[in-house]
Amino acid sequence: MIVYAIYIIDEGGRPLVSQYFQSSDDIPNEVLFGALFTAFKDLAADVTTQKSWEMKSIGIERLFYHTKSFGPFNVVIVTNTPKSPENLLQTIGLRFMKEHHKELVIDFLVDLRIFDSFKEIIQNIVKEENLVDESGQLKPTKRFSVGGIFDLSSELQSTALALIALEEGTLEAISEESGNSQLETVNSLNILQKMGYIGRKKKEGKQIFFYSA
Amino acid sequence: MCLLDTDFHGPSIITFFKKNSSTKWLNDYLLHDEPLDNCLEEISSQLETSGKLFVGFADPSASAIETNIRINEKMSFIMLKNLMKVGKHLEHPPYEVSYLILDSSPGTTYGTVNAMITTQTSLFIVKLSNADLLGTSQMITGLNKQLKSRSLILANLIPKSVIKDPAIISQIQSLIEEKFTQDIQDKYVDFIGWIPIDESLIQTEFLEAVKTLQNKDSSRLIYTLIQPDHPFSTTLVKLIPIIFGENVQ
Repeated sequence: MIVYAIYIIDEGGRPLVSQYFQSSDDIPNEVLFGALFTAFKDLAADVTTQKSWEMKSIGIERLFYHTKSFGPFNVVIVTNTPKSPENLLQTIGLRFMKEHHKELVIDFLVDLRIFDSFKEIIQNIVKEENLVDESGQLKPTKRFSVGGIFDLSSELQSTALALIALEEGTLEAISEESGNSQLETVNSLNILQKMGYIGRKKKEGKQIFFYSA
Repeated sequence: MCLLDTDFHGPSIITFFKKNSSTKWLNDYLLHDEPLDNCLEEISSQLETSGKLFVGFADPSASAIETNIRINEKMSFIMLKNLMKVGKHLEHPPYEVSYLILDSSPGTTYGTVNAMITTQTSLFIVKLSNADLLGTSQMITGLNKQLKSRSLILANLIPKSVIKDPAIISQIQSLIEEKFTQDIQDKYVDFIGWIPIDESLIQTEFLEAVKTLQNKDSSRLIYTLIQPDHPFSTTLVKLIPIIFGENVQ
């Protein structure tokens, strides 16, 4: 599972904390998402007539928005999988409650900057779990195909084929597999990433390149 | 050495060797997650040659060919992905393969494109008929513009009597190279030579085909083994270092 963003939103849809792990171009900003989240909740409450209704997950294209309510606020985690990250939702929600339970009972005039320090706490929690795609983007957005590979230049083609043979791998492994130098390989990997074919993730402290199968 | 029949539209390697019934088809590895080890057979003992030859057979059954006719882009990528893993797998024991040869279909099927993408050298074997020359030239032009692999052209089924005349050979070779260079322009397409044929080879092939029709035990013949002194064999052996790009014993 890769975590792309985490929001903490109050009951009225106001974003209290938002922490992105990817390019903000690819993730809805917190204000837009807060409004959307509240609208979804209200709509669902209307159509289901259940007052205690709680939204758990929404899938939009390749992104899944998982939520958990903690009374006065909701934690939302954006990931690449439909499976809800229950433990992470719980950890962040309880930690936020512990750190800011006093502020949460104050009215809407509270200065939101008091929650800024919680971003670092979120980062540390997520980092410990190695859940972040460090590419800084939501890639890969494209799948390799024979036709797509055929259209690549020979340098990109050899790097792509090496990654396909390995399924995923470090720069060193891909360079060895392709027979290209590490400098050539890193250039090709950067281009393939910009094209949307590959992503990066951190695994056991190493940067791993992967593609969408 | 390992030879894989990736001509899934018209499998032919099975006509040269006797396949053990327990050996799975190459199709099973490429499309159905069968381990590669179960799809390769060492047939060196059949040939009584030094070194090892592993063969992967394409399934010639009607249903397998039909599956390949209906192949879509997703399936072709799965085949490519699995094909990419073959080379690495064969580097290790018990294989320790130095050369991997893929026999592919004529024309631009997914299997042919996969083979060209995967390999370092593409060898196009053409007959000197108008249709084959023009078709191959166009095919290489279409395929090769994006491929890094070295492309070689070898003319097959050339009458032995024609090859005897150096003047005619030189003239025809120039014309062929001119034709391919004109179509393909800046690509690295080398014309490497001719494979002669004479009446005895045509007759041998014909008699084996008749045996098949008569339901008699028959198999295609490997001339380099059974007639090593025939010009077909001596010519082919001379071309091997050029094809593999080095001195091969």
